[in-house]
Amino acid sequence: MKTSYRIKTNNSEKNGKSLAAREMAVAVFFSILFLIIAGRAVHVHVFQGTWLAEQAKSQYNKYMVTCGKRGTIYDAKNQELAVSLEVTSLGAFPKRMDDKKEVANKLAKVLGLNAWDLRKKLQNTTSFTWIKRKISPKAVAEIKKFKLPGLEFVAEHNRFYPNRGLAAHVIGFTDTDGKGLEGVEFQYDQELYSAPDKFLVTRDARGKRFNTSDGYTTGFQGNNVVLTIDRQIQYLAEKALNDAAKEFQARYGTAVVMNPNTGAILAMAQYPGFNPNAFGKYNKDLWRNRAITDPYEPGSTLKVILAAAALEAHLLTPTSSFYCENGSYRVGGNKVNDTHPYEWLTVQQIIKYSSNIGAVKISEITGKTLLYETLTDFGFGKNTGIDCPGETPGILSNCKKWRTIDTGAISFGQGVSVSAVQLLTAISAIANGGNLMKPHIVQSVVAPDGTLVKNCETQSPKRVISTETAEKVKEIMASVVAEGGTGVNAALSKYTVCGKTGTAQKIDSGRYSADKYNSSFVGFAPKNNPQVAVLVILDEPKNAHYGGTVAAPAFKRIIHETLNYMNVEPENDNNDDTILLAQRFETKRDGVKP
Amino acid sequence: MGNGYDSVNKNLVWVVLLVVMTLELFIFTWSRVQCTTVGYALTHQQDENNHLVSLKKKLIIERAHLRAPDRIAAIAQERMGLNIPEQNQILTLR
Repeated sequence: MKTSYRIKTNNSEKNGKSLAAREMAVAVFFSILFLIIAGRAVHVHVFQGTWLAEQAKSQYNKYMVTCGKRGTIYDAKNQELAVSLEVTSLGAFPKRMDDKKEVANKLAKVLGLNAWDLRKKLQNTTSFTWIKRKISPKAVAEIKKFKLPGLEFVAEHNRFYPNRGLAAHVIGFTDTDGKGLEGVEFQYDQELYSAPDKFLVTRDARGKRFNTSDGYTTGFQGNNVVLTIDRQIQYLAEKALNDAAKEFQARYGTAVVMNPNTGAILAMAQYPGFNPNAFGKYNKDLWRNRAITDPYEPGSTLKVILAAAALEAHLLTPTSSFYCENGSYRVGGNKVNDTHPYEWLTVQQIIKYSSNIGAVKISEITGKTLLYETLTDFGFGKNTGIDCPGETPGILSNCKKWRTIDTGAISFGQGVSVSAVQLLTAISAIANGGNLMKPHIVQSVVAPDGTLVKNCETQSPKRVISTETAEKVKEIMASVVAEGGTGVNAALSKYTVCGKTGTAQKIDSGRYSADKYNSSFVGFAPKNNPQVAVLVILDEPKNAHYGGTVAAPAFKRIIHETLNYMNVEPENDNNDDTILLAQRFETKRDGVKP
Repeated sequence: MGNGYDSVNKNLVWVVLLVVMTLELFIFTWSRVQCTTVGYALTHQQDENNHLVSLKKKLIIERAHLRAPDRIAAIAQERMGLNIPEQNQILTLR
């Protein structure tokens, strides 16, 4: 028994030692394993940590570049004329797509693209690629329903003109990348433009955005531009011009409304118009702003400047008389005719009846140098500096080159070319008492937060004639619209209108055409405190061609509706009802008194 | 007795340490999960904000479109029979 016990004890000791050894082996094995893992962990974290972190970042973080929102263009009453609308563009990360064929087929169907081309594009691109830019909200909704991986909806901006064709020639338009191509959009492109911005987009392992907003819009935008154009006056001018142009089947038409005291353009209408939302569908010829870019022969409207030159130099008075040769007068070998034959006319009557011979006779008194100097003083032959692109300086050759007939022709507005805005600026100088203002179309540039960036209205006016001369010329211009004058169709009952008609033959194949005319009317009202100056030009009207017949009624309509809209107090208000209302108010008030 | 008490104390320390470690692990995990959830919520709210801002802009444009003078004039003339008054139709209140 004892022996066997000893044997058992020996076996147990052996077993115990073997177990301990095995335990030790396992412990050592796991210790080595843990040491390897710990060593690897230290290696990964300490030695490779930065590199791996950057690798991970590059997989989860991506920089996207998107354009900012272009600034808004407002009218003088802060109504939107041009705005940027958010639209969605579709991009893709082909790497994240499982089945490119399926994606291509589905997208091609919704977006109207070629499935094969799209599939090739996805297969050949490794990083980001655009699928289609500026897609419709309906297409966006449909594509989102597919829940396809690897697609990116990026917010972009599209230019939109809520008033369609209203003031289209003034505002202009932009290309698909938001760059101004015409009008204020072009002229103030730098102010309106918002530079592209970079956005960090973080995504999780499933490609879901994290801490990044949809479309990455942060609301950064360019400055806003406030125009002097009043949307309502613009509409009134466009409507009157369109009606007149259609009535007389004119080729083109222009109407400009200006505040003569500041040079601010209140409206600038053109016929025919175009819709800047779809400018590509219109002939390029219709895009330019003819009131700024196109010179034309002003005709008799320039006689007003001639009269101003003579009166300012005290060479004549409004009552000085000239013999008008019964309608035909030879100047330097050329014959000048009047529409009606006249004998003796005063300076005032020469303007009132628009006598060409009378104008030539006045120019013989002033001489070519004074006439030229006065015309240049009034801004003809050089840019007015209006903040619109493509301004023409007009054509006014140096007086040293003028022949006798040239001086005579220029005195009644032929042989010289002006832009519509030049002529209206000059007439406005007469209206405001002799100061030549710089015409402008932009009031101010304002930052998105409302702070003023640039005030465009500060200017130093240039005196071109004395107040006394301006008053005399205003009297003469008022007579044009009075009974018997050529501009009687522009007369208003409640305001005294000052104006001048213009009918200029157009040059056709190097000669003055017998049947192509430019008909115009320029003027302002009310006479004693002018608030509005208007110029209407109709190019090649049919059936009639005199400025007093074709352009004066449109002028009258514009100036009447504008003064009415601006609440300008009537000068000649003898309406009995007005007095009655005032009396009734007085009676009522008196009745309440104790 | 003394040895048994020490052994219990040691075990208790280990248990407490384990519990603390486990709790720390849970708290850390919870805070990370919360951080991620808030991140997603933030993204969602930013999306919502952008959507509302975009909607507001669209409404402003729609208002500008509806207030377009030619549209107002057409409604005034065609539906209401109104016209711009002639000179003799205007009364002045002084």
